[in-house]
Amino acid sequence: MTSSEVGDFCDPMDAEIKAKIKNLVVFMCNECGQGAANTAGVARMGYDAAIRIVRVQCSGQVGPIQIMDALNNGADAVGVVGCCLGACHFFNGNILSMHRIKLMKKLFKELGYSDQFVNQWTARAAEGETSVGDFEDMVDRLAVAIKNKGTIKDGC
Amino acid sequence: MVKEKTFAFFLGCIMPNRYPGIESSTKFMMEKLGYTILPMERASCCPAPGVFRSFNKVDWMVAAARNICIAEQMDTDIITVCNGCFGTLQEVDHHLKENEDHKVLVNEKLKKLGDYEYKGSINVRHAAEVLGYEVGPWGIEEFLVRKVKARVAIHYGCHLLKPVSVRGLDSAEKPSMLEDFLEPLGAESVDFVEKYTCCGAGGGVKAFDGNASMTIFEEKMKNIDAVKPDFILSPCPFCHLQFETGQDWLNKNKGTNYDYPVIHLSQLVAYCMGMDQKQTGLQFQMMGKDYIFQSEEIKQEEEVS
Amino acid sequence: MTKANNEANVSELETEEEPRIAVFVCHCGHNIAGTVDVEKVAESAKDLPNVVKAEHYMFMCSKTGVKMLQDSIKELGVNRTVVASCSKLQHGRTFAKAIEEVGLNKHKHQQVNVREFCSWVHKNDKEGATQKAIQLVEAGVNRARKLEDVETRKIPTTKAALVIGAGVAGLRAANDLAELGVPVTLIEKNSTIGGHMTQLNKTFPTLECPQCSISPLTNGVANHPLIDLYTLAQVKNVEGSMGNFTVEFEIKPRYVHDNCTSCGECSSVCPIEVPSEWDKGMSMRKAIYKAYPQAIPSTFVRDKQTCIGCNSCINVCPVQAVDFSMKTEKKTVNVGSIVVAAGFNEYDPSEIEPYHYGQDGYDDVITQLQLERMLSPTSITNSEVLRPSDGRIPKNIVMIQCVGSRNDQVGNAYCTGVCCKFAIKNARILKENYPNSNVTICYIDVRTPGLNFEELYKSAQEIGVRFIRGRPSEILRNPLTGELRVIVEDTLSMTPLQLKGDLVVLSAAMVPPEGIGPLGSRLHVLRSKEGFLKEFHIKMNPTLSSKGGIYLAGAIQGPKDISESVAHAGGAAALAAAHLVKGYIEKEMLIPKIDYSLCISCGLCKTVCAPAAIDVDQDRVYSVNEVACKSCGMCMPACPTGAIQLINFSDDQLRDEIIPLSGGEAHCHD
Repeated sequence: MTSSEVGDFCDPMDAEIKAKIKNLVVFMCNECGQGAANTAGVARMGYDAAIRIVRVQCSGQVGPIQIMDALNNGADAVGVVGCCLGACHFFNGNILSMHRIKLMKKLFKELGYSDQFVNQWTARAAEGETSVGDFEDMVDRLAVAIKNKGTIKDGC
Repeated sequence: MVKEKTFAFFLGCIMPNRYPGIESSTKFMMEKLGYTILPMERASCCPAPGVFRSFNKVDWMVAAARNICIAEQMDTDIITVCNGCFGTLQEVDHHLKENEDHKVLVNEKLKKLGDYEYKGSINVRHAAEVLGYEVGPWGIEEFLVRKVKARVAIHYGCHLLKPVSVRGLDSAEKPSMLEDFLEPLGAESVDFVEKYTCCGAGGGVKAFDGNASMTIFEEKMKNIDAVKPDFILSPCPFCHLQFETGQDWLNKNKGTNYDYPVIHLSQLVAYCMGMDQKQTGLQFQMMGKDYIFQSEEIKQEEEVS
Repeated sequence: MTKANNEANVSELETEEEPRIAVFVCHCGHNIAGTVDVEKVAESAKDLPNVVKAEHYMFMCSKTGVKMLQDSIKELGVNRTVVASCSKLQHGRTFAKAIEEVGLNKHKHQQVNVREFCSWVHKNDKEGATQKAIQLVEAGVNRARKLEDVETRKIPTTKAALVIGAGVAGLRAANDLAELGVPVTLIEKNSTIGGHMTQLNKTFPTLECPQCSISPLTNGVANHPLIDLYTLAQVKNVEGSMGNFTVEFEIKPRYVHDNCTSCGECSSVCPIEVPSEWDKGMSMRKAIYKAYPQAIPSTFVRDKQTCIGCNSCINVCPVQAVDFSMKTEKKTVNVGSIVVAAGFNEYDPSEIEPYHYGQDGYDDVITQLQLERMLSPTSITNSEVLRPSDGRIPKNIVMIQCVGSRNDQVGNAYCTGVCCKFAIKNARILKENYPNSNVTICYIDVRTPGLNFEELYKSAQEIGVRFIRGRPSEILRNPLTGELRVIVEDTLSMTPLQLKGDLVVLSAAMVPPEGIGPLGSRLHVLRSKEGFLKEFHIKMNPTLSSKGGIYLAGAIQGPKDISESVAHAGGAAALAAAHLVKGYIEKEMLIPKIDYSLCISCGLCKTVCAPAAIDVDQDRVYSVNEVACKSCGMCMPACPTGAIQLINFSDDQLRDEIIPLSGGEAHCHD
C-alpha cells in the first residue's frame, strides 16, 4: 500500500467502518505467536475485541483451506502470525507461511477482491506490544480496503 | 543493435587540448585494427569523476548520460583513452542500467537539455581493455610492423580498474592486462615499489591541494627512478599530464633531474603498428624530448598454407 | 508407520463413542468475571450439541475446581472436557493431568483462553468481550467434540552411538559415552586422531603442551573396550530416526596392515616427497608416512595419489605389513544416537588479495597454525621460528588479526572469538624466545574474555609486545629487495604506518570444515548461514541439532576454543546417552495420518518436512516416521488432496473451531 492509499484515519467515516468489523480470525503459532499473545494479555494491553485467536502448531500449518474456511463463514479478514525470521521452532515454517500468504494475496487481487483479506506478521514471544500493533494494523488495513475496494460481503 | 567494430570516439578534455598526438595515435591504431572510429558531435567534458561528482552527483550523472545519449543515437559503443572519462562514463552507464529510479530522474532532467533520452543501449569501453582483451596479445602480433626494446614502468592509474565490482576487468591488486598485452610489442614491464598507487592528480587533489598532489607524485617518481626504466607508460592523459608537469616541478623545486619520457598506450601501440614516431607527438612533450624508440623491424612471415 | 497401520487407525476412528462434553467457565476471581459475564457464557454453552454439563466456578485450578472436572467424568460419563479460563501454558497441563488421573486420555481436554486472550485485553468493552468469550467457548466445544486419543508410546532404542570426528570434542564425547556403558563407533576422516589440537605448540592460558594434555584421552579412546575406532572413514548414508539409526560408512584403504611396528623403514626408502598437510606445509612427508611421531593409530599410511608404485616399501618392511591390494571397505552400524564432532578448518587467506598469502615472493606471510607448527617441539626447524624465504630469524614480526573474520567482503561477518587469545599467546612466546625481535599485533579490538585471559594480555604488553589498533590494508613487497611491509594506520594516534615485516603472521578465522555440505545433507540436519551445523536452540539447547537423535559437539556448531569444545562435547554426550541408557524414548504420538484413498504419491509433504520425517519406499508409498516427526503440521497445506492430516489438528477439526470465531454465518458462495 502506498501512502496515498492509507488515507487519513481521523476521518469519522473510518470509525463507522471499523465498528462494522466484527470477526477477525488470527492464526497464531504455538511458539512465538501464543507467547506474544500471552505477553500482551499478562500486560493488560488493550486491543479490538473483533480479534479471535486460533492456536496452530506452526504458522506453516495454515493453508488456503483454513483461510477460506474463515472468510467463507463470516470472518472479515484473516491474519497469520508466525515466529520472527530465524526463530521458527520448526526451522522454516514461518518462511513457508510467508510465501503462501503472498500467493493468496495475489490470488485475491486477481479475482478482483482486496488483497487485505489475509496478512502475515511475525512475532516474538516477549514482545506483546508488537502483536497488539499488528492487530491494530489488521483493522486499519481492512478499514482502508473496505473504503477503497469493497469486501467479499459487499460483493456478494 | 550496436554497429559492429565501430566506436564513437569520446575525446575528453586533456587529450584534444594538450596531447593531440595521443588522439591521432589512437585513430591510427584502431583503424589499422579494422575498427571504424566516428567523431561525437556536441560531446562535452565527461564530467570529471573527482571534482564534478563531489559537488553535485545528480548533475554529474545527467551530464555524463547526455554524452552517452549521443553515442546511443549513433548506435555505437563509446571508446575512450582516458581513465577519468572511462571512470565517469562507465560508472554512470553501469549505475543507470541497474537503478531504475535514478534513470527516471536523469531522463526527466535530460529533457531540459534537448532531445535526449538515456536508454542504456550501448557500452562504454576503454582502448586499454579493447586491446588487452578483445584484440589481445595473441591478436596484435599480425598487425605489428616493429617491436621496441624497452624496459617500461607501467602505470595503471586508478579509474581504469577500480572499483573492481563495477569495472569487472582485472584484479586491482595484481593486474596483468597491460603487461601481457605489451609483451609481444617488446616492452618489458619492470616491477617497482608501490606500483599500483595513484599518480596524485585525480580525485580533485591536483586542483584542490597542489602540494599534496606533488607529495604523492614525488614518492611515486622516487620509486620509478629506482628501477631506471626507459619510459613510463600510462593509459590516461591526466596521469600523462601529471607525470610530465610533475617531473618538471620536481626538477625545479626539489633538485631532481628527471627526464623520463611519458608515453600513452596509444602512442606506443601506434608506433609498433607502423606509425612514424614524429606523428605520435612525443617531440612536443616536456620530458624525454630526445628519446627515440629503440626498435626492430619485424619481417612478416609468409603464411604456410 | 506402514500403510497397514495407517489404515487400521482410520477405521478405529469410525467406531468412536458418542461425545459427551463438560464445559467449565472460570471466574478467576475478578480477572475474568470482572469483564466477561461468565454466567451468560456458561448458559450459552448449555445449548450446544453434545454438551451434558455447563457450569461456572470461581477458581477452576483449585482442588475443588479440579474435583468438579473429575466428578463430571466419573458421574456423567463425560469423555471430553472444556475449561474456559487462562492460557494453555498456565493451566492446560493441570487439567490434562486431572482428567488422566480418572482414566481419560489427557489429549481429550480442550483449553479455552478467555483471560489473556479476552478479559484482560478488552477491559473497556465488556459486551464485546462477553460475545467473544461465547464464541471462543463454542469453538472450544466444537474442537473438543472430535478430539482423539493420542497415545504416548515407548519406543525401544538401540544402545549404541556413532561419533563422527575424532578431534578433542569427538574424543571427549566418545569417551563419556563409553564410560556410561554405551558402545561407541568412532570414525575419523584423517589417518590419525586428535584433530587440530595436536598441531598446536602450546595451549592458552596456561601454556601447556597440547600433546601431553590430549594423550590420555587419545590413548584411552584407542584402548577402550567399548570404542571401535575407524580412521580414513566417512559416512555414506544415514537412515532411521532417533533411537534407531542405520549408518553406512566407508573406510578407505590404508595399504598398511595393523601389524605395522612403526619402525619407519618404508618412509626412509620412499623416493617421493610432498608437503605435509598435518605440518601445514612447513615440512615434507613421504608417500608412505605417519603424520607425526606420536600419531594414533601408529600404523603408517600410503598416499595412493602420490605413490609411484616402486614397491621399495613393500620390499623393506620387516613384518610384511605393506599391502597395495587393500580395498575400500563398507561397514554398517545400528546406533541410537549420532554425535557430530567434525570440527573446523583454518580459513584460507589467499582469498584476501591484498595480503598476497600463498603468492610468489610472499613466502614470509604465514598463518598462526603454521607458526604453531614451527614453534612446536618436533618441528623441522627445531622449534626455531625462521623465515620460510631464507631461513633466518625474523627481527620484525607482525601479526594481523581478524583475517577472514569480521569481514563482510569475504562474507564472514562473525568474530571467531579465539584468535586474539592465540595471537597474544604466540606473541608472548615469540618475545620470550627472541627478546631482541619486535613483535607487533595489528588489531581491530582485543577480545580476551574469561578467567586468566586479561592477565595474559597484560603480560604480553609488559614483555614488550606492541599493539596497534588498525586493520592493515595490504602487505606491500619491494620487488627490488623482497622486503615486506605491512601498511596500517594506527587509529589511536591517527598515524599511517608502514611496518617492516620479516615475518607476517595472519590470524585466520575458524570456518566450517571441508565436506560439511554432503555430510550435513546425509544427516538431514540444518546449517546456519555461516555454514556451521545449526543448533536446536542457541540458548537452551546448543548441543542438539535440528534432528532428534543427532547431537553436535565442538567447533562444528560454531567457533570455540578447546575448553569450550570439551564442555560442549560433554553436554552432547549426556544428551546422546539419555535415551540409550534409559532404553526407550517416550513420545506422544501427535503425528499425521495418511489417508491412502486420497494420497496421490506426489511427495510434496516430504519436500516441506524440515525434520525429514516422511519416508517413501520403492513402491512410492509414503509413510510417516513416527519418531522423527515434530508435529508441526506443515505437511498439511502442502498436500493437494488433503490426504495427510495431523491428529487433533485436521482441516476438519480446525474448521469446526474457525466457524464460530468467524461469526458463524455461511456466505452465499456456490
